[in-house]
Amino acid sequence: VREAEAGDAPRFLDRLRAGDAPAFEELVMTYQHRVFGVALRMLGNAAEAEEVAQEAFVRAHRALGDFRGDAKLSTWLYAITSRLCLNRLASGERRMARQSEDALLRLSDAAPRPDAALERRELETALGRAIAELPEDRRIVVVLRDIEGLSYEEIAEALELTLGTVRSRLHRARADLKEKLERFLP
Amino acid sequence: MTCDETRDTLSAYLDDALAPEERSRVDAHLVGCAECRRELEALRGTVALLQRVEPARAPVGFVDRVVAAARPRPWYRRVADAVLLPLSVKLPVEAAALVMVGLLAVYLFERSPELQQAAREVAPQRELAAPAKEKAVEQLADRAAPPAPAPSTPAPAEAPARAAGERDRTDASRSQEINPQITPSPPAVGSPAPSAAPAPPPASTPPAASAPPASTPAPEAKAQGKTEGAPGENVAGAGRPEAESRQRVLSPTISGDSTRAAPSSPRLAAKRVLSPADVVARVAVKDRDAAELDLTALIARLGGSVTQRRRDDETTVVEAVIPQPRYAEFSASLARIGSWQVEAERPDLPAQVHVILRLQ
Repeated sequence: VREAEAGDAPRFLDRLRAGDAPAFEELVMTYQHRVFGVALRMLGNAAEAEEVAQEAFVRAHRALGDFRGDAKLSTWLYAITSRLCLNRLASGERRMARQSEDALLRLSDAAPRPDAALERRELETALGRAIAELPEDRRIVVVLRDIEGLSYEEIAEALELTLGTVRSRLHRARADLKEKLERFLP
Repeated sequence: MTCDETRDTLSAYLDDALAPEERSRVDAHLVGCAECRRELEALRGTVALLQRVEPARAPVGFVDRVVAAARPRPWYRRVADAVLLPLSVKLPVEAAALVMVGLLAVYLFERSPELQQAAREVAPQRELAAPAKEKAVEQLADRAAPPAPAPSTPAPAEAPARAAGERDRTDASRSQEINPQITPSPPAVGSPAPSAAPAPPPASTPPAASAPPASTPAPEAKAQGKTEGAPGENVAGAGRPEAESRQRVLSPTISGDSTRAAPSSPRLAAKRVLSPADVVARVAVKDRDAAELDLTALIARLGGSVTQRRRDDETTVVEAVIPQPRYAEFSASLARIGSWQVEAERPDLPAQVHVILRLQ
């Protein structure tokens, strides 16, 4: 369950824009797990994800003065985070692509629920692997949509894509995942 | 609407993201196409699986790290970052600096007046070490002693190195330059009776000045392009112009109070070079009296002889001559008397090894 949205209340935004330190801390508290989650799903490596998530907040901190407020704060943060992840993935650090699979495996293995059936862990593993294997431009869309729960419009705004592109990438990503997760489907 | 067209929209259909008229066309197709319905259900199941993914949690302490990273850094930190070199550069530079400081410390220590004085204070002990030669030395010293610095008169030495250098007659005239600085000083310590000579201060390390070349720090030798030779073993020892000239370079520094404390009798000075110690060592013992007895017995057993012993509140100085073949045995046995530490040792020991031991 995600934390309640830190209000995009005008007063909160004003404080943020004015460089109010407690306000910024509140922003980080509110969005840390979401920003980190996107980075983790995209990069597949907790250490790298933390690095990118931190960088995202630092950039947000620098740019807050220019934040106009016509997008939601969350969408704006997702936009910054997504761009950082995609840049990093495109920046030649392709070795991470290889590692991400293993990392995601570990990730899901590492968090067995007390009552977790073997099947559950198997599913987590398969899910992580399937997501990690998606092409990055589809992976980010499905992560934002099905894991983070953004609307098509928010995704389009965050990734600066048309609605049609979001729709088709999401569909291809889901179709791909469906093939890979078939044995878990009812 | 074909099955292919329909399937491309199914994802959006699930999300209720289709325009109303498109949605009704899909509905119409699904009614009549079981395969597309199965496809829709599979997609729905997939999305349900994805939504069961455990939400990630940022690591503990993440907020604090972000806040710290986002905080504008104070101006001095930015300046420091700009000025300071990366570690990969800093470390070797720092290591090199450390080495340089170390070498400088050795160099300065070697040249400090305290050290020179310590060397002088050790010197009186030596004159008794070779009694056999004393007479010859005295004669020589008598010749050297007369009134003032005659051109051919060796100057009284401040240190064995100087005295050795004096033997080089070509330097005699130059010795004169130093002489006046030394002769006016009253011989406070320099009474001919060697027993009146002060015990060497424990803290000082006399051997450094009179030590064999091994103790000469490399930089000095390089800088001067010469080695600081060990002082001549006896009066007949070869003159050492290098030592002489070096001494002269130093003389302004050491002609201060250290000169005053120095014995100024030329005769004594000449005797002093007679027999420099071959080994100077400090022996830490529990009981000085017992150790002295043991030491005397040891020396006698090895066929050596004690040439002098002196004591004050803190130190007992025993000088002795040990036959060189038994020296190894001597040093081994000495370890049983106390923990001993060689302060200076000539690399090539003569047939009769002259040792100075300070029991403390």
